Amino acid sequence: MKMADKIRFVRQNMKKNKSRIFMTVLATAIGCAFLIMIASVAFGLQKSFVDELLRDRLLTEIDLYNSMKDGEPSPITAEDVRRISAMERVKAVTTHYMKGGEVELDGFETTTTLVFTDFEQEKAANLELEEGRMPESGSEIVVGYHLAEHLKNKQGASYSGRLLDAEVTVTGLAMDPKKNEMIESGEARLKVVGILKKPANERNMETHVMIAQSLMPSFLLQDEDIGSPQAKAYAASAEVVAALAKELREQGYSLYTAADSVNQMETIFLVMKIGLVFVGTIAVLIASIGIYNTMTMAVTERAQDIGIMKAVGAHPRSIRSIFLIESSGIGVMGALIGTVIAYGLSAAVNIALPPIIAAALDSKPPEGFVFSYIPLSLTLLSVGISVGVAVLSGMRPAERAVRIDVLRALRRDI
Amino acid sequence: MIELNRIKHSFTLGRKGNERRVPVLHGIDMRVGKGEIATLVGRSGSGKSTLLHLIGGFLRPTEGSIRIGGQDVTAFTEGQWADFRLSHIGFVFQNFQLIPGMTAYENIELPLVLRGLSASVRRNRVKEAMERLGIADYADHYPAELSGGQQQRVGIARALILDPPLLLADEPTGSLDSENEEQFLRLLRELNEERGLTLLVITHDERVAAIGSRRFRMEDGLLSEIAAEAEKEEALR
Ligand SMILES: Nc1ncnc2c1ncn2[C@@H]1O[C@H](COP(=O)(O)OP(=O)(O)OP(=O)(O)O)[C@@H](O)[C@H]1O
Ligand SMILES: [Mg+2]
Repeated sequence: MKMADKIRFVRQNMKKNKSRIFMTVLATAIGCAFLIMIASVAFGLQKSFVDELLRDRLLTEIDLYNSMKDGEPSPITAEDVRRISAMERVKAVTTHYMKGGEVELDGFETTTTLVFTDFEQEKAANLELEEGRMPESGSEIVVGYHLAEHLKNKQGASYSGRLLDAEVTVTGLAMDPKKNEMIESGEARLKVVGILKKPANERNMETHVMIAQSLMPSFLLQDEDIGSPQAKAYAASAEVVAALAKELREQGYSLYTAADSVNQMETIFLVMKIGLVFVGTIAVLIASIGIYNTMTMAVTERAQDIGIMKAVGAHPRSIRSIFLIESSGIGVMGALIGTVIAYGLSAAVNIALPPIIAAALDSKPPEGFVFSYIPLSLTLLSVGISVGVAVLSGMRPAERAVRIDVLRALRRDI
Repeated sequence: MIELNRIKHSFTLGRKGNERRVPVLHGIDMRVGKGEIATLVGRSGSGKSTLLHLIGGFLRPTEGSIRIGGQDVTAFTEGQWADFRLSHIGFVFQNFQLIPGMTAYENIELPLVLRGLSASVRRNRVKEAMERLGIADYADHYPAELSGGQQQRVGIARALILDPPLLLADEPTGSLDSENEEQFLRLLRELNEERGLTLLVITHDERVAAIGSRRFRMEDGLLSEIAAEAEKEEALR
């Protein structure tokens, strides 16, 4: 028997009992819509909180601590930096060599940290400036947002002039190994071309000076060891941070990324999603009782027809599939209608809820807040569950149809 | 075409644990050759229908074996029986057994649909059969909108649409008046002559029984051949 003919049979049968089929489809649709809606809350909250976090560019940052060499943790070397830079998901790798120093401008001065970096990499990593531009030559530097207010004269007054475009004297400080006291280890006049972005956390004071690594030797004493650099890798996008971190860990690097804490949140949301899908599935299961009932009635009503078809030569397989097609048809229609309902409800909730929250809590919900979000995966999962449950609940009635005794059906005493 | 060997059949009655076996057929041997018309008469309750149901695969014999068209069908599964019925056996019933929700056309088309034939092939074959049986004008009628004779012709068209070699009929004229019965018998004889169709017809009616080239009688679950008896008597004389 051809599939097209089976479907034609099913459609004819369904048409004969429109209202019953309609009610069953409706129940399935409501079950499916409930499943999608309740789970969409978990997806919505996750989207609102986690994805909002993920958008922060800090999240592409990976702090590199050590690499494993011959089973021993050892500092990140230039060789490591080159290797990591070459990795596919890496946008940039910055290395910060640091030592103490002083800055002086027109009699105002302060101690500071000298950070030697590679400005090409900083650019690639999107180092953000409050004003000015990134350095283009070795004699240009950028400085921390708070440096100006830390520059003080003998009377203790802060520098109030313009720091951008000013030429400052930068001095390196080092411990003299013989005298055991701090001495100057080098000095240069450098031009401030950029001010770093104000730190998000107001208690963070940024007073450091960022200098090109090519100038580093002129700030070091002979034989001075500046130590290993602070290295950060930047992932190409927030989505690949976790994968990149995993790959680096596998290669023996120890590291930290904010994505690690996001992962924990995602675990919580995953548990929440599974729980809500489970609860929603109960609604679909209740609807499946209706499908079971409808299909059982259909088989009973059509027992005589089935008997005649079997007498003529209908294969048990054909009979079974006709009824399974009917129940899965109910499931598919219910799931589709349910999905449409769910998308509508979801949009309505997202429009209606923020004003209500605003009124009730006297505070606005965060920007881009969504209460309910239905990703394609949730739709597919819910449709799958609804259709699957519909097919399952059609199985016993279909078996009953297959087992109908021809002679009893022809005598019409079924 | 039909070969029954020591067929016994008993029905089981009553609840589980308190069953009673009712023997109906007591060991039946029967051979009907290809192209023969076999008729079967006998008192009510003698087991005629039971025998037909065994041959059609609606019942399984308690003992004995059945061969149809050279194939041993005794141990067929449900699925095998379905395919075998579709291609080898047509059935005609006393109360026609048409599907009430389908038109005459759709009822006749059913075996072709089950066989998986294309719509155009089906259309031609059904049209041809309806014309042959003089019911072409009633294609869109539902069974309830047809007379008994018309319904029976729809039933025959359905039974023969796939050109099976064997036709089984259980009191096919039981619901027909004498004119329709006459037409029906003529049709059976024509089909037998044209296609070499083998027939097994159960009947109460002497006129129907008379068309048989082989005439069987069922008596209390035992089968005997009437013509053979007559010949025997002749030989004795
Ligand atoms: N399903 C059944 N369960 C139990 N006994 C049955 C069943 N079907 C038939 N019988 C019995 O088997 C015997 C033969 O029945 P069958 O229908 O074969 O008779 P028949 O010769 O066709 O009679 P009729 O001419 O009245 O149709 C009867 O005694 C009947 O009661
Ligand atoms: Mg009978």
